[in-house]
Amino acid sequence: MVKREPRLWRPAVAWEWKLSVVLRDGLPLSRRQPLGDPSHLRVVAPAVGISLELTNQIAGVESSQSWRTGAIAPTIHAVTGKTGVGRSRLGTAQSDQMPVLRQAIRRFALYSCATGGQRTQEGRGGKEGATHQHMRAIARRSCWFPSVGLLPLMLGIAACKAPPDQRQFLPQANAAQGKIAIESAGCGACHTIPGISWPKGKVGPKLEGLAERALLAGVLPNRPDVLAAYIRNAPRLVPGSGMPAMPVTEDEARDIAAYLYKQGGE
Amino acid sequence: MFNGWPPPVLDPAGPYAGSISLLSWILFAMAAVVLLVVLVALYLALFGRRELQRKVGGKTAIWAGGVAFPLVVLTALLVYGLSLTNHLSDPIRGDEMRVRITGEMWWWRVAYLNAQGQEIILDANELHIPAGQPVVLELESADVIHSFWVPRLSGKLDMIPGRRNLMRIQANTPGTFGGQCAEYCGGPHALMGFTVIAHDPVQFTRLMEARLAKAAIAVDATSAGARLFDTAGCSACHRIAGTDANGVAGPDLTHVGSRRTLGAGILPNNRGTLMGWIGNSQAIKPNNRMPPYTLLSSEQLMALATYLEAQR
Repeated sequence: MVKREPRLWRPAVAWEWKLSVVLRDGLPLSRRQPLGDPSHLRVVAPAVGISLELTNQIAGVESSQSWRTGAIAPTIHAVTGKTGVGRSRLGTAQSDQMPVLRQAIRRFALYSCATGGQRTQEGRGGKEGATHQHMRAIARRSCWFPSVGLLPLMLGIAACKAPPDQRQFLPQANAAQGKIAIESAGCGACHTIPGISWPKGKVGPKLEGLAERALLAGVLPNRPDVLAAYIRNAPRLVPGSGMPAMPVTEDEARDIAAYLYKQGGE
Repeated sequence: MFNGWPPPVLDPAGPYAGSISLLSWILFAMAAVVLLVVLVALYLALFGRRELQRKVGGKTAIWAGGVAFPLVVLTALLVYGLSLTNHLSDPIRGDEMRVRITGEMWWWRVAYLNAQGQEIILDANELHIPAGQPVVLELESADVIHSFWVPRLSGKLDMIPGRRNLMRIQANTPGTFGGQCAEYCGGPHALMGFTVIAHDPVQFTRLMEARLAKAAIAVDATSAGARLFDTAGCSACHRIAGTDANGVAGPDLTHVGSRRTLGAGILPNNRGTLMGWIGNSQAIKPNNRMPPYTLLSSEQLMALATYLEAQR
């Protein structure tokens, strides 16, 4: 039996936010009905006690709207730490702006956007495997606590509807380590990179505001996993690229990608 | 940034740096004691009892604390310091390994000498030495005054145009030691670094033999990179032993692929940084004497970098 954590899950959501799952035609979903693909989550912003910013963060509600309906991830099982790899764009809500929900945000930082029926890869052992198991546990629990089940779904929406300053994110990547890797690999010899004071190379492009860019190297879709792969072996992904394969490990490449996505533009 | 950089100043790795840093610590300690005495005297002069105030400002205190104390302490320190570092100026025996290092704006020319004083292996910005034995450096300058400083292995010694200064360095154990030009020598002076790599003596002998052997073999000149090195004009300034490239204005590139760093101790050495340096070294090290090669395509840059990487 799964151990419950009522103190963690009870507050905020069901009381301050009106949440309901509706089918596409707007009819309510009964409590026992499984959350299938066509489900939508209706979020009604509370009248008082919560900032407009937070409202927008979580539900994507515009200031003029009182509620919003958005697609949700088909099942909790689709949500694991590895969701992003090779599948979909990832996002993480800004935990510092949601103090009440910080714990939940940290656990469910990564969600697949609801494009229907996506299954993600299993976590590869270690921490990721643990995360995956935890998700399954939450999924089981959600049968008894509908409102608890909605919390991660709602956050999933926060990930789909990205606030403008939201950063793309890789599981387990460490931006601070990324900066160290950038310095020791000498990326600055060719690139001017925000936060790297020297060298500011001018052979390759400036690496500013990468998170908002649509294409990498003018060719590839801008996804964290693609960026990490490109850093390790650019000519394989883009034949004729001026960027050579760089001597960094897979982890370092991921860290570098995380660092680059954190850097804004002018 | 990379191994051995920035070089710690008070962490000696050999006898010639050891005595200097011991002396530094003694000076720091003495300075701390003197500061303490002065502060106590100041406190007594300001807030002490009237009697004590009179004593601190009295003739005896002036003579004892202002004349006798510094005279004795400074003289003792001078004698001790000179005897401590006396071995730095021991006469050169003459049987040590010798390397000629010439300061250039803004890099270091390195030439390993044989017993007859002839230059047998040329390199730049990096010095390989055997651990556990003294190596004599002939320090010269090709243009302005530079200063050679590898803090963990020795003190500083200026490189003066028209002079040959001799200095001994020694590393007790194998390792990598960073160095830096310590005399302002113009624009990118701060980007004029140096690396010393101390090897196990057996490995060191093997390395030097391999280098001598490489210089004797002709390098494959048919690769795209080799041809570009000639046609793009690299060979006018750079030499690669075993090829027609024999320029002497810039660093010798015979072993560039094996170096720890690029651009005189400032960048890690890999294909990417090689391309960045060739493509536009002016963005990395402003006013250095290599022009930016913005006319090369990415394939040409890649070919050059691949060719240079192989020069080990």
